[in-house]
Amino acid sequence: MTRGTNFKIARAHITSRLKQTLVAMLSVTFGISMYIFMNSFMTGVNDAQTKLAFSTLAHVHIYNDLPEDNTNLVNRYFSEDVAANIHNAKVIQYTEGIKNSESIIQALKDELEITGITSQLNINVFFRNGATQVNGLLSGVDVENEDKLFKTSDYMLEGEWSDLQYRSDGVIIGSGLAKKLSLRMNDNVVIMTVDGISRTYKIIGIFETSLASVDNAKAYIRINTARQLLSKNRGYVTDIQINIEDYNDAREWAEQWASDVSYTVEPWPVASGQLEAANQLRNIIAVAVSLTILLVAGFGIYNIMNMTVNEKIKEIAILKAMGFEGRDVVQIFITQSIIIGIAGGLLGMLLGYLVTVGVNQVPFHVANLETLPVTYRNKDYLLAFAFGLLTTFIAGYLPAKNASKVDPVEIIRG
Amino acid sequence: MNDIALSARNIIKYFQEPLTFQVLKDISFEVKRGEFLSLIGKSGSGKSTLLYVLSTMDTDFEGRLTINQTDLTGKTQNQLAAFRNAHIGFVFQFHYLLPEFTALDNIMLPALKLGQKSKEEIREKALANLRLLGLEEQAYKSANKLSGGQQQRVAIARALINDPAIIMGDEPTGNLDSKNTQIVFDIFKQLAKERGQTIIAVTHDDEFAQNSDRVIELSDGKLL
Repeated sequence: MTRGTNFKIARAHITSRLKQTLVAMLSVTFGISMYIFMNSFMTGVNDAQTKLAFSTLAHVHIYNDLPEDNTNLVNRYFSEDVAANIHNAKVIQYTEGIKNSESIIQALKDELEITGITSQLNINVFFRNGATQVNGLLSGVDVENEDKLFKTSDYMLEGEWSDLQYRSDGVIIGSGLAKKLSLRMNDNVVIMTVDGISRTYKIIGIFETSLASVDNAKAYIRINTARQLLSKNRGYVTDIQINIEDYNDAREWAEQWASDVSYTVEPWPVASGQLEAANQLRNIIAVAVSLTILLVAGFGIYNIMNMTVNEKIKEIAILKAMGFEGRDVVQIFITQSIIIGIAGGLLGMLLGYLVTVGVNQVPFHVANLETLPVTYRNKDYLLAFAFGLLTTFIAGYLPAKNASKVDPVEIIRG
Repeated sequence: MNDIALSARNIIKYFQEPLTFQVLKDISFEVKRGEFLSLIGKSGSGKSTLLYVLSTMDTDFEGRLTINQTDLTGKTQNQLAAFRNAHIGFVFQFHYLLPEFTALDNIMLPALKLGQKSKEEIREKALANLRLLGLEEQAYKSANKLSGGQQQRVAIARALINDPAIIMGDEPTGNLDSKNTQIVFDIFKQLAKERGQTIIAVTHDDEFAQNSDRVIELSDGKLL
């Protein structure tokens, strides 16, 4: 019954000073909506950045690394105090690429988490047209699976990606490369390997990813055509690219597979450390900024609750004289700040959503983006609400605690 | 023994600020059940200070205070608050009603806090108190819409809600005109006589004091 009474008093306080209540509520609303907006925006940027990066980068990459450091073989069999004198060490023979790709792919295909897997045969080559010569990367690809992993067909400027499947003499080249070599659709280009073998291909497509390093130096052919170019067997590949369901798990999966596969298994954070670092830094900024805003909102509530306590100090004194205890007084003021927190929080979630939607409409034509990127996550809304309530609770508790210590004699006697 | 409502033994109190100063000097007296007692004295004689000591709100004193056979020395603030809630009613010079609440709600507050009766019973009792004080018409008006005399009478109705053994008044008629003073005085008299409730009132009003059952005068912190 006391609780009901305390609630009634709290409600009277709130409704009798509607303007202050509204200001306090709006400061919570503002804090929470900014928290939601900041986090949605930063996550959006992260996702966009990651998506862009994953247009050329797979979640996990399997390849045959160069042989390890062989400059001192003696060390492997003798202890370190054995003096060794080796000059001009040379590697006689090592295996290039992945020979048994089919068995690896077969084994990995059974893993549920894999959403896409493709093999590539990447060769460093020279592209020539007349006197112009540009070096770059020729990628022999499994046409269908390459598109599944990297959405290469999305980046086609001219021609169709799927045509590559049916054209053993076809090549699809980057827009920058085409420009450098003065090439257009259906022109011929000469491709020359490091071993001196050259062959002529017809341009059946031009792509543009907006990543200059790719557009200026990369071309695709069918993987079998690439094998022919190198005189390699069926099954020979240089790289196996794998996408999994959640790219955040890449590290763990890579570690697990490393023991099954005799080649290097590299998750994306290792291949592209700066991407992960940038993501995490952006997250830290978002959290720091939004918590600061919530803190400021908290000070706003604290201020207003303090004012209320001062204004109502005589009432508090009389309540205490009549037998209300310190914890009743705390309850009365905490109830007020929690009501403010909940109302402000709900409104803040709505406002945060609206601001996020609004920002998502702002045009932003850079790279392959069209509007500012945002990501909607329930987690952000729940956390914002939780933090908002926590802030209002603390901001309400401190003045309430002071109010509960009011000495009725002092106040009533004046 | 049983008809002693309040007993004060060797009450001594000092003010520390601005200088150490003894306000109450070894005060002892007893108040009988149903007695209407007036505390008088000049400004600074310590009569209000004594009242707040008796009210249990001021705990910073030496001596022994017993109300209704309950020894109140050394109890915690919360225990004392609960005790006040059940056994003591207050009427101050200013009414201190919650302005947003109706007269009825204000009166019900201490009983709701005590929580011994259902809300319906409390409401009935509050309405009965309002009738007793001739305020049944004002029950649903908010406190800040009432006149000064009405507000003070509502404050008395509030003080009575838990049927306290003792009603304490700090100049309960200090802000009232003579007509309202008379009304309040008659109510006190009636409560003491008919219900056996003990009244202790600090007052400046000599007529008020002379008409009460007993007058205690303080001078320089001592009983005269």
